[in-house]
Amino acid sequence: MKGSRPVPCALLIGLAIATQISLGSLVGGGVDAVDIPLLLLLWFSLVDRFGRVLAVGVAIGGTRLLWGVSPPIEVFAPLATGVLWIRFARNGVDPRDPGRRIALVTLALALAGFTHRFLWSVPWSGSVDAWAEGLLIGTLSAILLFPILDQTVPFVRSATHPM
Amino acid sequence: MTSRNGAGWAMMCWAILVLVSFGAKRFADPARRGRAETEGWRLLQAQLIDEARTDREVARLDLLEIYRDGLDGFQPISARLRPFPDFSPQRHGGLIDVGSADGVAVGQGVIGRSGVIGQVAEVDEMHSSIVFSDDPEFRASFRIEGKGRGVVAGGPGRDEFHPVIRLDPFSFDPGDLLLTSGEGTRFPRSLVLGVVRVAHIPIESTRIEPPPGTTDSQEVLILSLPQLRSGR
Repeated sequence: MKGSRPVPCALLIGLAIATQISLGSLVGGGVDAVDIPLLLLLWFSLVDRFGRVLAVGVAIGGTRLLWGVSPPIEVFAPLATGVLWIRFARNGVDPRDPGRRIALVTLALALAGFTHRFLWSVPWSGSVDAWAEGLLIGTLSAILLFPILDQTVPFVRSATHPM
Repeated sequence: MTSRNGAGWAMMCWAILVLVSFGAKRFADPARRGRAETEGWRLLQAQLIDEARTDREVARLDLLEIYRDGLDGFQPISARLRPFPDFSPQRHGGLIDVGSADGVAVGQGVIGRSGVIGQVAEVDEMHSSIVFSDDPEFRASFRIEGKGRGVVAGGPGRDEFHPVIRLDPFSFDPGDLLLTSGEGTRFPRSLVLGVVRVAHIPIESTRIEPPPGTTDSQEVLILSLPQLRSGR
């Protein structure tokens, strides 16, 4: 693949998963939407070619299938919903605009969380507080994480929208 | 500084932050903090492996004694539970050191000292994965003394679950104690499931918390129904 850089991508995925595991115990309560690997995938969806987005999605989903109890549909459906939303909506938004990009990602997180809940139960079941808190923490995580990810663009040569 | 150097620094700083947060877990998690305080004792105990084995056996027998008369025909299988972070952030579960060779099957109930812990999700020959009662896969029928019955499902957040169906007309109140109803093939009657923290209408938004310590590393019992196994 032209411009392919598997090692930095693998490092980024590894860091995202490690951050996820370490945050899992630090942040209590409704942490459903705090999904750092999903945030990484959404960032790739904003800036990169679909081939690499697919590869990163498969890598993240693969680790969840290997080291988890989730069935494939539960792993890939929320990831796919988030990515497809970004790919659909980013055409109308300048991805260099930090505010609009976070708005896009917040909606993607909400859609991914909604899809996950829809697979297990009616989507509106359970307390709204936990879901809202999770979404808020997810958005704050994106605000903190994306500037760091923007710094890594030189390692991801094919990025179409380096910010 | 070139942009490539900047990218390298960014990744390195991120890695350092991850390492720091792994170290901070010790201070954030009360159970871990407790274990850190007993580190000296644990080193001493390492020299007395036989004694530790005896302690574990005592804990198992103690647990069996607690539930001696309350299992209603369920066959208990003793196991050691170790919490394991699932790579999917919405899933909450752990590993147990028994598997299909010991008679464990998918869907069996898991109980501990404080009550219901969860259910078996995946089974290997020598070990199994379980999901806790706050996992979205978890389902159990419940009753509230003097009120009625229903079904709960795990999630959506950590350390909480919610009702999905009421089988009798009643309303939830904060402080209501949910016990297993004994219906189905997973749990016997009258085990502690959780306590209502926030009552809400519609009932699906009611917030129920499992007993404290449910997700800690501990001795547990897997409940199997002998007639169900022989019937297969």
